[in-house]
Amino acid sequence: MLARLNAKCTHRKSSKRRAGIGTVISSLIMVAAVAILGSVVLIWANSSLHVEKTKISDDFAKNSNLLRETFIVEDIWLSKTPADYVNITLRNIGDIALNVTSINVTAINSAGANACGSPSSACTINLPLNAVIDIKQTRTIGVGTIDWDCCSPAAQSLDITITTSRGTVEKMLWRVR
Amino acid sequence: MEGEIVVQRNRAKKGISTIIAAVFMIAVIIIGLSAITSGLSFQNNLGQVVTQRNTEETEQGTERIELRDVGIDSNKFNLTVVNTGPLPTKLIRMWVTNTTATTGWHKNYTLNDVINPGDSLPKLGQALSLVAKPDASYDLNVVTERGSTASFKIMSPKDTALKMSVFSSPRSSPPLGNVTLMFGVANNRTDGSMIQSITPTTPTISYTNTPGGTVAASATLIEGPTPVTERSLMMAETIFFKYVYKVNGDPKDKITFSFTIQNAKLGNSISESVEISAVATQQSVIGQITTNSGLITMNFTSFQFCAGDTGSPITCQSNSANWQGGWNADDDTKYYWRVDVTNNGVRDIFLDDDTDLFLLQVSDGGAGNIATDLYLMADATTTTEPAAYTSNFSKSIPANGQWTTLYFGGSDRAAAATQKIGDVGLHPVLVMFFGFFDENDNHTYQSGTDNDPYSQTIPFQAVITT
Repeated sequence: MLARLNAKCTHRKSSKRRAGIGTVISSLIMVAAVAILGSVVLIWANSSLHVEKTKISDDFAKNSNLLRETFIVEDIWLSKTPADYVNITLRNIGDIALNVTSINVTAINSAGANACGSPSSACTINLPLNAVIDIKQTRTIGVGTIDWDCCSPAAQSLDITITTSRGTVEKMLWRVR
Repeated sequence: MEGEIVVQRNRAKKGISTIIAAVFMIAVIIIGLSAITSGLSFQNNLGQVVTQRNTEETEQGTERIELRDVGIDSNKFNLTVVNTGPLPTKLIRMWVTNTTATTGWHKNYTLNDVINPGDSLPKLGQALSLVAKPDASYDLNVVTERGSTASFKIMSPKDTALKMSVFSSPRSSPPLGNVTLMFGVANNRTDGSMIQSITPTTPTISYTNTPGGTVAASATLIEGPTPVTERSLMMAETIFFKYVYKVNGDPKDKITFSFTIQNAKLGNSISESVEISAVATQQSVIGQITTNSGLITMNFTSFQFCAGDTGSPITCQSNSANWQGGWNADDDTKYYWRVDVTNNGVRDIFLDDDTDLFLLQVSDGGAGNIATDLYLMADATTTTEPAAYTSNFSKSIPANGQWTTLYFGGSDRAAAATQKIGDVGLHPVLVMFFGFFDENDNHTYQSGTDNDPYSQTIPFQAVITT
């Protein structure tokens, strides 16, 4: 009776030993899998965050530079020598240099229409530029030729649009007569 | 014993997973905090930039520069600009356009002037190479360091018709009368332009003589223009220049004054006419008026006499209470006499020492009268009695309705001694005036030139001596 009992006990112990190894192995596998997956997720998250951070940083720099970029149209002079030139003097009053990439001038009549009757005629000019203006400096840009002193009905004002490389757009109307 | 080992193994497995979880948690927290910190940092920096930009724009918007005075000294602008804003401002550039020049004249000049709030900056333009002309108009644009601009328009009278006005007082003047003319120039521009250099020219005077007249109309400048010039006129401002002319001529003669200013626009002028009126100073009119009523009138209530003598005690000072009115006098007392008279003419009358108070006794029973002359004396003062009128024509009756007190009592011309009436009875009293008009109108008798005579008698006073 005792012997039978011992035999049963031994059989149970051996079964338990086999079951424990499996658990350990499976646990190890699970732990390893979790660790690997976790690390991958962590690295991916960190990497993504870094990319986003860089992007945000670039956007921030771009926007803040756009905000810091300030200029005024200090003077506009309709020149007759050379004829039909519009001399526009810009002053950089911001704390970073800026680059004027285009100036668009359209002579418009009292009705608000192109003075020459057609946008492609001599009453409109779009001048591509690469005019860098340093901090606190001025630059006079001659835009021409544009027929601001002819046409019937005569041009009443100039519609001027100035664009910088950062995207600042300055629009203004300048009365001719 | 074996059961204990199994429990320990289970505990060890639980510990590893906790650690791993903790590590992951820490990593996640670090990454999260990093993201939050970065975000906050970006936000903070962006906020600073936005705030700075807002501040700059606000400051730029509050800058206010005003032009208060314009002048041209030594061919250069002498401008006075005032900072009426709340912040100090720095002028860095001035653009100048000569709007009178038909060929286009546009230049810029570098400035370096700081103006504190409320302060003014005088003499702006004196250090620039710009040559300013009083007959040209200019547009000025002053740029500040913050980027705001102040635009001013300075106009020459040549380029705009200014509102002019002229007033004369009186509009109708007697010969040799003074006429005051006020010539006004107003800045009637509505665009805020300032007018520079307002300097009146010598008025053009034209004369219209009445046919048959004897005296040619004339106008002689006595005073003016005051002021001589005005540097500038702000919008809606008016300046008046005062002129005083002595006009002469026959009645109905007209004198027309035409005023304008230097560099005025063609046709920008104004005229005012003054007419010569007939007045008492003209000899014929004087005669007529003298016939009717005389230039001199008397204040009968002021007729007084004072018992004094030529010596002490002094009892008949001008403010003495011993002066008495009425008509009862003593025949044996030496009196000083006085009466207030008014000259209604337009020129002073210098009194000759023949001027006297004439008393005529009315004799009872038809017998002859006894006349007594009491001659003009020099004025009493608050400390002295009337004195001898030794300086002939020194006493005058001022013109234009002014009055003066005349003192009488002298026993003879230029005599210091008084005399009694010396007879008893009724006495009509007359005042006889002899003198010359103040031809030179300078209130000082000038022998030889002040030679237009005038005389008059004023009756109606009466005295009874007992």
